[in-house]
Amino acid sequence: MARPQDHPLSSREILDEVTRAHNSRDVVDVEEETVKVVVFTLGQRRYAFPGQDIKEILPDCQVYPVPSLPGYLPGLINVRGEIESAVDLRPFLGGTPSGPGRVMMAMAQRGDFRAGIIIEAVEDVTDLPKSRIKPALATLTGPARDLAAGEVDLGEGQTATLIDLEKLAAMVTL
Amino acid sequence: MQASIFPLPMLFFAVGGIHYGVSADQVGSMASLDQAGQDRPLWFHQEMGYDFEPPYRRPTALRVRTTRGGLFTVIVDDLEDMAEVLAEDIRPMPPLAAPHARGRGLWGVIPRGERLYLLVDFALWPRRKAA
Repeated sequence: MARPQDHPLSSREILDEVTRAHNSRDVVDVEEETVKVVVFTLGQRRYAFPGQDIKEILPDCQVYPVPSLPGYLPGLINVRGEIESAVDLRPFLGGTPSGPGRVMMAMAQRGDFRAGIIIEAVEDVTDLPKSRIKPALATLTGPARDLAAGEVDLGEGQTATLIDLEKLAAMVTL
Repeated sequence: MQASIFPLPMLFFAVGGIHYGVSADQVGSMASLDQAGQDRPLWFHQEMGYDFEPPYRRPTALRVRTTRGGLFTVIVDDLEDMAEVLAEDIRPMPPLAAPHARGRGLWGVIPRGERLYLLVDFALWPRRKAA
């Protein structure tokens, strides 16, 4: 479509506009530090992990039961020959543990803590400005509050509770 | 130089759909349930703290040797096979599970095909330690 100008658009003008757009984005990037989050659902609620804590997602992972483990440890998983513990957050978040079976698993690691954490679905993996992470909701109570590092504003009125892996490690490690 | 204990013969079985391995060195003999003898046997699932009553389809009585030279009987199910394993076949129990599992004598894991076999040491069972 022709523009209401007296000369056709040159490639130089287009390139200048592209450069301005890129520079403008760079300015935003410098001003707003971002953090990667992995947004997931569990028990029909939305949660998030800091992206740096999640090494991989295993979409269909067998949990092998072990007798006498507490409800938040439903068993073991075999990740390419390495045996890891499975962790179920639901007992801490007010839900019912799922028990052994095939599940989606987020492989989490921070420091010495390493485990597969049961999730239901990954909704998004995204970079968000740090300013979008707010303090944990005052309405959170009990262990859920103890696990929360904050509330992530995902936009359009959507939020997710950010899980603090260090706090989780402290709760599940004897 | 001390001789290696590997390859180590292990006896594999299952109880309630969970698979286990035990060093064959701990097992003195095996018999069917009706030939288990006069002493009161221990049912494997009870000693392991199962939260359900598993059906025993093919129960077998293992005569387990204690370090003090005694014997006791453990009823297990679904005896699968006896096989030699190498040190590299055995994985330690992961740190999160280990403190809970050790109380039931579970000390390691062997992946075999699509299954995980939990390694049990009868000598670590609380009742055995108290005996």
